[in-house]
Formats: sequence, C-alpha cells, structure tokens
Amino acid sequence: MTETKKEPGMAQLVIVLLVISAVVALLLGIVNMITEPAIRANEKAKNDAAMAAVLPADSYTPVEYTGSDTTINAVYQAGDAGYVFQVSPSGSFSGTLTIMVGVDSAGTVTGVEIVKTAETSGLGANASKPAFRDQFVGQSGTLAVAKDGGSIDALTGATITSRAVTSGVNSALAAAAELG
Amino acid sequence: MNVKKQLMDGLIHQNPVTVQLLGMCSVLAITTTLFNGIGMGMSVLVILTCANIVIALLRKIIPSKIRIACYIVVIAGFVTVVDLILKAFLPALSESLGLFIPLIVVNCIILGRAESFASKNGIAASALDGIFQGLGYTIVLIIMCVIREFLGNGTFGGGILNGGEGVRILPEGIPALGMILPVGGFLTLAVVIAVMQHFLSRPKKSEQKEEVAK
Repeated sequence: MTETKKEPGMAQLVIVLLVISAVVALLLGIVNMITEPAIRANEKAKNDAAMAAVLPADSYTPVEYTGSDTTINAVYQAGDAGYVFQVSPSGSFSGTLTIMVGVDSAGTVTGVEIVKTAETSGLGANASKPAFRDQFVGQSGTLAVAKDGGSIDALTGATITSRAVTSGVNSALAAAAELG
Repeated sequence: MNVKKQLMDGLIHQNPVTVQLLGMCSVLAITTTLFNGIGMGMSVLVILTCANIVIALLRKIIPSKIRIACYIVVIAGFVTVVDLILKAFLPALSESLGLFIPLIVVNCIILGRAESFASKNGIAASALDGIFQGLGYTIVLIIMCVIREFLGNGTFGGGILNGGEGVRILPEGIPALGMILPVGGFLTLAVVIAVMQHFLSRPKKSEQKEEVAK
C-alpha cells in the first residue's frame, strides 16, 4: 500500500465526523419535534379506542394498583361500570404482548383487545381477531385454554399466545376481584 | 443510455436481493403480507436514495479512513427519520414492521451501495442508483410476499385490501402455515433466486452465440 501525499491528520478526521454527526443530530432533533405530538396522539388514541372497545364508559379514571401481580401495567375505573386493565402477560411467544381487558362490576369479562403484539404474523397475531377474543366475553373466575382443560379454544398453531392472553385475562379478573 | 443500464442493473442484472444477495434478513423476516413488502420496500428505497445523495455529495470531503463511520451516521440518521415519520403518520405499518425499520441501519444494501456506488459517482447517478436498487429490492419483496401470503395464508393483499384481511383465494385450512414462518421465507427466497438466476444465465448464452455467428 502506497502512502498518499495528502494523508489527512487526526484533527481533520475528528472534525469531519463531528460535523457530520452534529448535522445529523440537529436533523433528528427537528424531526422528533415535529413527529412527537403525532406519535403521542397515536398511542393515546389507540389506548382510548381499546378501552372504549372493551368496556364503554363516559370517562376513565386511572386507579393505582397496589396488588402483587407485576403483569398489570395500568388500571382504569370506567365510571361505575367496572374496571379496565392493561396487562402484559408473561409467556407470550415473542416480544411484549399487551392486552386491554374490561371487567364489569359483577366480575365478568366485557371484552379483550390486543394493544401491542409482536406475535408471529398469521399465527399468534390472529389473537387480535374477534373470533378468538370474543370467547372471553361473559367469562369469569379462572380461565384456561381447552388443551389445559378450560373452555377457551386456542388459536391454530399458536397455543402459547392463546395461553398468554388467557393468563392476562386471569390476572385482570383476579385484580378486579381484589378491587371489589 | 446510462440511466437504462442503471435501471436494468437495479432491477435485474445487479438486483440487490437475488444477485448481490444483500439485505437477506429483512427479506426473510417481513415478507408475510403484501402491505409489509410494499412498506418495507418503499422505506428502504427512500433511505437508500437519501443516503446515496448525501454520501455522493460528501464523497470528496469524507476521509477514506473514517468513511464507514461517516456512512453509518448518515444512514442511521435517515433511518431514524423514516422510523419517526412512520410512527407518527403510518402507525399500522410501523407496528407491522416493528424492529425491522431500525434494523435498516445495518441492512447491507444501503452500506453496500454507499461503499460501491455513491462514494465513486456523482449526485444524480447516485440518486438514480438509490431509486433503482430500491425498486429492485421492493419488487423481490413483493414477489416473496405474494407467494408466501398465498401459500401460507391463502390470501392476497393482506394489510391493504378487504379491510386488512386480504382477499381470500384458498379456503381456510388448506394453506401451509409453515410458509408464513421463517422456514417458508428460506424456501421462497431460494426458489425466487433460482428462477432469477435461470433467466439471467440464458440470454448470456444466446448473446455469445450471436457473437460467434458474427
């Protein structure tokens, strides 16, 4: 390898990289400023839509959850209709699974929505289909998938995801019983 | 003339996926529905074109010793911009592609084109290279998506048509679920590359024959 005549010095290397990084950082800052409100609004809209779908109410008041179940992210009181639980059950197939579960004051499930999922497309991702979710409506007590002797029909090829959703619903039911 | 050559290179002769074999990870992972394929392809096309333009613009300023670091900073910047924009304005797509948008940073297509093309060519040529290579990538993604979605799920146009469910072609129960899983990705990619190589190797022979005949 032959040495070139104008071998750039260390200072030049540092300055070029520094300037490029600074310009990129500035650009990212600007884009973040523009997109952040929209991203926040999207997340909120999704959360609100999920809450409205599982247990319709005029207003949702956040309730502090003091129980021992660490899979419960948030609890909202849906007027006097009952509670809405945001649960991230352990044992999902991939990534974090977050579901919204509505439980009425009588302790029965009013609806289940998948808020966030990284389950396999075409298999576990089918958990968001109504045919699966509607099985939980009107159920109470402790649930299990049919394979484990319960009444919930697991998704084809996605028993693990089905079990995770079921355990999330169970967490919500148990927490609702605690809250009364 | 040169534009035509660049176009044919991007789409066929130097197709990033089937000939250069770059960016395999995303090709295997996200080609499960048509929506994913188009979204990922367009994201890569935009990022590749922007990165190519900037790198072509800076090619005389960037010292060769730190060129890779500079490329990565530029590429990562554009990827993050696209990621934020998708999250803000196309949340459904952003969710479906998940981690694979941030992973475009390490997609070999973009670094590969920066190193082998944009760092040696002018801005206009580099921009065209980005568009054509991006199109070549998108077309392969779409072919893979259509095949895998049809065989694995029995539908066409999942995520876009028919309210996101896709148009059902095969009745439920018949499709082979494995085609949606990673194993189906490998199988489909192998077949697509084999078919492409088959057609690529034929015209060359006929050209040689013509030359001999002359």
